[in-house]
Order: sequence, then structure tokens, then C-alpha cells
Amino acid sequence: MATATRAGEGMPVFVSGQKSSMWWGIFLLMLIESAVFVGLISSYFYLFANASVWPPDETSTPSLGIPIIYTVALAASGVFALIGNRAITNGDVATMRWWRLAGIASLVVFLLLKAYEYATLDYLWDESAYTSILWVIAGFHSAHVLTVMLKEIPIQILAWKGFFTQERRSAIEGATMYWIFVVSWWFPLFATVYFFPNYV
Amino acid sequence: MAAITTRAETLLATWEAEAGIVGWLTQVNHKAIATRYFITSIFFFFLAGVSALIMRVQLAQPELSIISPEVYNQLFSTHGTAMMFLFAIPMLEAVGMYLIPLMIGARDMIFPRLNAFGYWVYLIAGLTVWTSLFLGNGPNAAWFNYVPLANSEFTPGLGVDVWTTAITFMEIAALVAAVEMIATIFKLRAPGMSLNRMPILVWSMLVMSFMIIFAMPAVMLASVMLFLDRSVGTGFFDPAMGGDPLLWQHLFWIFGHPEVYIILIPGLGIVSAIVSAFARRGNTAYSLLSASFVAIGFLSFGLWVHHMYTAGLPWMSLSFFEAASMSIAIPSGIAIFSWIATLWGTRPQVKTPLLYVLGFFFVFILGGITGVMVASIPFNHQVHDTYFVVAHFHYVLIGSAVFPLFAGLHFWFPKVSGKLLGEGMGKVAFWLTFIGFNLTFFPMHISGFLGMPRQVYTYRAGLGWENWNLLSTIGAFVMGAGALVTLINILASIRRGEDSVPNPWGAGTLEWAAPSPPPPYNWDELPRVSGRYPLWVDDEHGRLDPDEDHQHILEEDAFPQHPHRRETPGTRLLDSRLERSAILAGASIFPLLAALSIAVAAIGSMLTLWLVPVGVGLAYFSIVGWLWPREEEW
Repeated sequence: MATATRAGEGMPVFVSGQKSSMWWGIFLLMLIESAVFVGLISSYFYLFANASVWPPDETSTPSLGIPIIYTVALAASGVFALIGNRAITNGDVATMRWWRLAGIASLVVFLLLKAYEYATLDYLWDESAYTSILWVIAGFHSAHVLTVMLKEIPIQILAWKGFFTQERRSAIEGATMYWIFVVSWWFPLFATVYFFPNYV
Repeated sequence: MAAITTRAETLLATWEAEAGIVGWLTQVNHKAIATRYFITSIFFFFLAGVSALIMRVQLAQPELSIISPEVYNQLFSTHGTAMMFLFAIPMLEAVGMYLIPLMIGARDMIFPRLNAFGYWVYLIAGLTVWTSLFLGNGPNAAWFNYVPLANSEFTPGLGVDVWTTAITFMEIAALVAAVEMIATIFKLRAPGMSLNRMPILVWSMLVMSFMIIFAMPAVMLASVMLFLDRSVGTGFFDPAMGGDPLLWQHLFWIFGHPEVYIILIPGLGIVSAIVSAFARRGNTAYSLLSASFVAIGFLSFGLWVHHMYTAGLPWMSLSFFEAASMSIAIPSGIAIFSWIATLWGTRPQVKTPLLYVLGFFFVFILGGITGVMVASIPFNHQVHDTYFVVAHFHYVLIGSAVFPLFAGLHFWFPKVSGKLLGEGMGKVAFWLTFIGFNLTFFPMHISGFLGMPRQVYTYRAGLGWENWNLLSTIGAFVMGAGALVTLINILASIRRGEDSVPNPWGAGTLEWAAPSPPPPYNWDELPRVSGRYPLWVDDEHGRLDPDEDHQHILEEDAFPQHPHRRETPGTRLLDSRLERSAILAGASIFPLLAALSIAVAAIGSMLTLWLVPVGVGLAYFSIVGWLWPREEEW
């Protein structure tokens, strides 16, 4: 009989990067979502090209103060996530957990400030096509930030239960990829929604 | 021999689904899920076909009132939507889902639970669309839902909401299947099957999947925008608010045109596989053939505006899109010449699969010719929104999807069921389908030239359209009879068909080395390949392997296995060298729960938007449960 050896002996089972299934799943998810983000930004400029005044007369140009603060918080969360990922690459679970918690805290700051910004706007989505696209972009991206945050909860629980090791880290790697992806897409969105109507 | 039995038994114990209803609900095997897709999409195909027959009866004579205009609107909208989203794409993806692991020598796909999830999403979305039609609230603003017609002012009621939510929801299934196929094709090919040795069908599935990934998000975005316009008063498509109806057309056709090629390319893959098997030699110009699929994939994203020639866009951009539309004829031509060259000088036995392929050549080339015609702007202005366009796209879509799928059905049926389909009935069904098809759709070219607009529930007498419409109606019933004979043939063959050997056609690709039907784990011993047609001894020139059991490609010790874990070889993207053991997920109830939760959000949004956060919250817990490490992973 063909002796069934433990797979770990002959062939690696715990792999990272492009060898892992997780990497490919997240990478392809990123492609899909990028197509949506590109669609949103294209729609924004399509509506802009159609309009004589942008933003429309009765709507104020978005202010930059709070958005700059939460953009910094979001960028910081990405850095914390990366440091946490580096820690688990070296097998340091405790350090990983603390940095990821710091990352979650930054995301909470982002979401609270964002909620405050939109709650105090003097218009809703049903004012004009401009306000519609503004709200949809904000909603869509914030939903992603929320997803990143929710994804970290099971990771924290599993880390606390001692699941993750230096070898067994592909879940954290995948979550980090997605985290950086969500942070990165904010910059073109910020440029579109805040920088463009103010300075161009 | 005893050793091999033991090995098979061990594998079966690891890979087999549980018995009973629990096993059925938690099933994740790619063949079981793909079979469910086959059955469901054939069911939807028949429903959409019956809708078409009802419309043809209504149009058989001028000024009939067999059905009301409202019902007619719902029927043609649902017919188009269902044929595209509920039949063609799921069916073709299911072909990939069933065959890819067998063609590349894997035990399952890379994310087995994702397949199950996709199926449940598809089933729920499809049932929603059809239920809404039976309740008299079906989609009723055509399959492309142009605004302003589709906005809440001109089309109140649930019909368009059913379309926007079910389509957005449905596309989740298409997208997860695409992700699944790309990752499986890239990372789970048998050792030795470098990228340039993949079966042509696998190439076509790869291109289709990438196209789905880039095309589907546009229609999801557009339908969400339309849904918001209709439900909470956003103004994306409302000129009074600074929106633009043309934005809908752009977003829809950026998806809608690639969609046509998403359906076409796997059809070309099926045709290539059958041509090679019947010619008993490799596909001529393999590299050019696969490159032409990739080229069609790229080009298809650059010609959506040819659906909008009459929308009043600048001439410069129209001319660009006109040139791009015509250039698609080049890679399509390469593919056709490759098949001709493959068949050239051989003496293939014309069995039913090849018969459908030959039918495909005829229909597809005719559709291609009218395609070049409608790509020309002045011609297009004449026939836009007439029955000429209806004729054209039925030639292209039925030509590129239905004929290849029927060919593939007859070709792979023995692999899936272990039984041969009846040849006699197969041939009768082919001729009924082929003659019926041409009788239905060829006259539509002429009724289109005579000025008959599409999507009308009736027409006046005395316009010269009567006879052409009557011919179309007769043809539709002949074609329907063909489909019915095929269905009877399938059922009869399952019950008392002739048993099939593993490789009834003497084909060269790997799936024919597995038993018919394959066991849940696909291979007793995993294959290792060293050519494009591993089952043929003299690889490229296709002499049949003298020892039919294919032992030379199956290696017992190539891949050491843990006895109780679902493992398959993981290989490198380009050269397919062994790099890891990929552990695949096993049975789980969570994909079903996740699909149900997202359904609460998507379908529920039609009733109240509060169901959206509820559904998303439930989905979160289902997904955590789904991904939670299994015990043996600790």
C-alpha cells in the first residue's frame, strides 16, 4: 500500500504570499473592488463634466479640516497593521495583537469623524447628483473600513486563544493586504471628493 | 490490487459527503455543485424558452391579444434577463466548475465552500426573478433597463426593483465563481502542466473569469445607483438634479458588451475541445488560438459604445468605437481558421457533439457577418432597435453559447453520468434545433429591414410583416421541440443509457483519464503531465494511446497524502512545479447561511431598507463561522 505520509513532511502546508490560497482570494477580491472604485470615480467625473457649476450652486464646497485629520488616522491604521504583520512574521503574537488593536482604534477614529462630518453636512443625498455621488462614495468606502475593523475581531480572538504562529499566519497576511488596500483607495477618493472641487 | 482498493477507500472516506439532508445542504464538492448548477440553469432555460414561445404566439398574427401589453413587457424583460444571467453565465461557469479540476488534475477547486455559496446565491436570485414574474411583478423595462423609462416615475412598482436587487445579488455568484476559477487554474494545476500546456478550454475559462471580474462590478454599481434613485431619491440618472440618463447607458454597456464575449469565449473553448477530440489531433496554432481569446477579452472592453450609436455622442468617439468593433473580427477569424485547419484532412466521425459544432460554425459566422454590419454607424442608424438587431444577437448568442453548450452536453455527458447519450435522438434533436433556429431568426432580419421595431407587443396588419412573423413563430416551436427531445434524451439515457468507458471519444485531455463518473476525489493516483494532450502517446499528432488505462500519467507516489485531510498538489503559476500541499475546505453549512443572510439584505431591501443592516450583520457571523479554523488546523 502506498504509505500515506503526513503532508507536512514532504510538502509545505503553511505557506505565505503567492503560494497561499488566501493571497489569491484577497488579490482577486481587490481587483473586483477596484473595478467598483474606478466606476465610482469615473461616475463622479462624468457628472462633473455634465455640470456647469461644480459643486452645484446651493451646495458648499467640502471643507478640508476634519477630512485631513481622519485621513491621517486612516493612514496611521495602515502603518500599525503593517507593523503588526511584521511582528507575526517574526512569530511575536503579543506585539502583533497590540499593534493591530492600535490599528482598530485608528479606524474607530476615522469612522467617528466621518460620521460626524456627514451628520453635520447641510445636505443629504437627494439634493442633486453631486450630493448623491458624494454620499455613495463616502458610504461605500466607509463600509470597507468597517469591514476591515470587523475582520480584526476574530483575528484578535484567535490570537488570544493562541491560534497564530509564525508559520500559521496567512489569515493575518490576507487581512493586512485588504487593510492596506482599503487605506490606499482612500487617497484617490480623497483627491476626487475633497481636493478636486477645492483646487481645480 | 488490494493496496489500490485500500487507497481508494481511504480517499473516499475523506472526500465523500455525508449522507442525508445534512450532507446535501453542506455539500461542497465541485462536481456535485456544478451538477446542481446544470439542473437549475436548464430549468431556468426552459422557463425562459417558454416565455419566448408565449411571445411568439402573441406575435404570430397582427393585432392579437393573447396576452396584455403589461404581461408582454414582463415576459420579454424576464426572458432576456434570465437567458443572460440565469442561464448562459451560470451554465458556462458550471461547465468550468465541473471540468477544470478534472482537466488540470486537481482533487477539487481551491475554495470549495465558495462554490457552494455561489450556488445558493444563484438559486435564491433565480427563484426571486421567476417568482416575481408569476406574481405579476416581473422586471418590465427590458433587460437593459434604460432610464428614464426604468425610473420610479415611469415604471412604478416592484418590477425594476426586482431586477436591480436580484441582478446585483446574482452577480455575487458570478464573481465568486470567477475568483474560484482563476485561483484554481493558476495554483492547482498538475505537476508538469505549465501554462502553455493547459487545455484550450481552460484558457477560455481563465479569460472569461478575468472578464467577469472587470465587467460585473459596472453593472452592480449601475443597478445600485438605479435602486437608490428609485428608493431614496438620489439623482444619478435624473437630469433635473444634474444627473444623466446616458451615465446609465455607459455603465450598463461597459458591462453589457464584455458580457456578450463572456458568453462567447467559453463557447469557443468548448468548440476547440470537441474539434480536437474528433480530429484526433491537437488544436492547430494552440498559442494563436489561446492568444485570440485573450485579445477578444481585451478588445471587448473597448467597444461598448456601439450599443449607443444613436444616443448622440461625438463623432470622434463613435468612429473610435466603430474601428474597435470591427477589429474584433480579427481574433474571431483566427479562431475559426484554427478549427478549420485542425479538421482539415481528417475523417472525423460526425457524431452529435461534432454536429452541433458544425451548426455553431454556420450560425456563428452568420451572426459575425451581421455583427460587422451593425458595427458600421450608418447601417446601425437604419436598423437600431429593429428586429434586425434581435436577429443579429440571437444568432451571436445562441450561436456562441447554446450550440456549443449542446455540443458540450453531448460530449461530456458520459463523463458526468457514466452513460452515453442516445445518438439517434441526439441527431433528431440537432436537426430540429438547427432548422427551428434558422426558421425563427432568419426571417427577423427581414422583418427588421421592413421596419418592425423590437419590444412591441403587437403590430398593425398590412405592413408586410405578417408572414415573416408567422415563420418565426413556427420556427420557435420547432426549436422548442428540439430542446424537448434533448431533454427526453437526457432523462432516457440516465435511466437506461449505454454505459460509457472513461474515454468514449478517444480525446487527449486529462479529464478523460478519470473514471466516468469520477469519484468525489477525482483521482486514485494523481496525474503528472508532460504535454498538451497527455492521453495521446504521440502528443501533438494525436495517435491514441495503445494502453487505454493511462497508467503512464498517474503517479502513486508523486504526492504524499495525509489520509484524512482534503489535500491536492499546489503548484507554481507558470511552470507548474510542485510547491506545496494545498489543504481544501470540507463540508460546511455556513455557505448556505451566508447566502441566506445576504439574500435577507438584497431581496429584503425591496421591502424595507432596514433589512440591509440585519442581513449584513447575519452575513458577518456566517462568514466568521465559515472561516473559523477547523479542529484539525489547531
